Amino acid sequence: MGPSGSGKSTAMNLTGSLDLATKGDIFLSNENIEDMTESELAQLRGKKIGLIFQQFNLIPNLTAKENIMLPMLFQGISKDERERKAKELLKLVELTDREEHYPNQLSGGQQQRVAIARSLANDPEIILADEPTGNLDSKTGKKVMEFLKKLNEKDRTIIIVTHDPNLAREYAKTIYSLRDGVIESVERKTKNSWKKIREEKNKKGG
Amino acid sequence: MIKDYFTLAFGSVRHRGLRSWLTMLGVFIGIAAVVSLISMGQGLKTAVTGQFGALSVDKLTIQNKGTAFGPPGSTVVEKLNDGDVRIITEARGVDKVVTRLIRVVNLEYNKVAEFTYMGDIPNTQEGANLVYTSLNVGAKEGRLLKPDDSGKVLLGNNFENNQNFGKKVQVGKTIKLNGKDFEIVGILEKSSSLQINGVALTTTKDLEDLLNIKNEYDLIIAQVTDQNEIESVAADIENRLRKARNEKVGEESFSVQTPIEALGSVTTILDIVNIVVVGIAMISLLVGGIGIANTMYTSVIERRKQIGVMKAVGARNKDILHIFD
Repeated sequence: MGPSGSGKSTAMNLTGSLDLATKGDIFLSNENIEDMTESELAQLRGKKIGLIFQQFNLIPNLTAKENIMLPMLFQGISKDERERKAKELLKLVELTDREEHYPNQLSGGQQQRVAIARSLANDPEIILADEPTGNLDSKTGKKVMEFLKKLNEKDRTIIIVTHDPNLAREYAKTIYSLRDGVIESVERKTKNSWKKIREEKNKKGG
Repeated sequence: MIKDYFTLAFGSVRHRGLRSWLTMLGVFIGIAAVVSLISMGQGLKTAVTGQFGALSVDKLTIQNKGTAFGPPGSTVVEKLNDGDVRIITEARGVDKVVTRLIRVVNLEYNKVAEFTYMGDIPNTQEGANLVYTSLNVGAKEGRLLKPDDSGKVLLGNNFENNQNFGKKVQVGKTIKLNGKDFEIVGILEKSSSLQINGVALTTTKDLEDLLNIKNEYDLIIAQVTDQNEIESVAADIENRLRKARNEKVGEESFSVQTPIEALGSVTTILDIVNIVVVGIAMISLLVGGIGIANTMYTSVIERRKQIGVMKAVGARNKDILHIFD
């Protein structure tokens, strides 16, 4: 969590291996991503990380189902298996009746749910969501967040980037607050209150 | 796997239906234009050289200069005569000599008059054969002229479908040439030469009587014994004629034309035309090529975001290329 310009999205892109760090090393499944080729990295990313964007970023000329099948295609999964998994995921996000719809025939909330289903396609270890509710009204945003919460309850690690403290306090278990590229504080949710477990003061770092 | 990439790629083509079709149409028209322009150039060359098909490689054409162009009066030049024929016959390497008359006469049929080219068929079988070989066409209807025919005319292919007379020109009918009646004995097959298609042929004797001339020729055609020697035979004929007429080199009142010379200038012009045509084709190919490159570039640019998304969900560069191939 943090205000705009605090480095949230940069942190996100680095974690998601979309960008490479100019300094320091990033390890994904014990492998240094600096040492990997672009294509190797893409393969690994497709398998380990599910990405959800503010702009949904669905492929406009593919149907909801095909969009969900896409990440599996790049992992070389058979067509039957892809179909089966896509249908299962559509059911999970409650969009079974929209499987043949194109993104422009879906509402923002529905598109984001398709995007969530897509991020789950390869059973990733982490799901990264960059302002998943940023382009949605509060009601649909809430619904999308409920889905993510449900996933989290099924033991899936989800990292959400947001600038909205209320959203963070309502759904998160741990909050990293960023300011000017530095982690300012780390808070963890206990039974009824938030407990600061670390606080950095005027220290540079990344 | 590859099948899936194809499905993805074709899906995108369908998605941009109009543009895909326009691009394909553009490519198609471009290629068609290039192919047709080049083949038109080739066709032009064949058609024009076909006009000279009558010139066989073993025949020399001798004619007096200035018979075709010039102010009135000057065109009335000295014609070739029997003396010239004798000189040419005596030249080294000359096999046969045939004289030709080519004149314009008034042709009348069904009371409609037209001017037409007339040629003659020599009154010897040998000469007639030589002319028919050089015409390179047979009779389509009726028969060819025999050397001893009299009052008969053989017409070129154009007369068959000539609508100007208001009545079909047929074998057995009578036409008037300079006011005299001639019976049509035959119509020639279509030739690649326009001149042959429009000609009217009679025997030499008939044509001389009709024009009231004697000992007067427009062309002399000399067939050589060995076509490899044709240049030296031409030189020999030139020498002899120059001597007989008492003329200096470069001031001849006649010309001896070899088939290569006759074709040479035309081929040069045609080659230039061909180069221009191919040039135009190349320009349109270039324009088409840039157009295609532009379409491909835009379609990649506008799909940059999609490519980004695909990479984010695990597409290798190879996968992206497969889709765009």
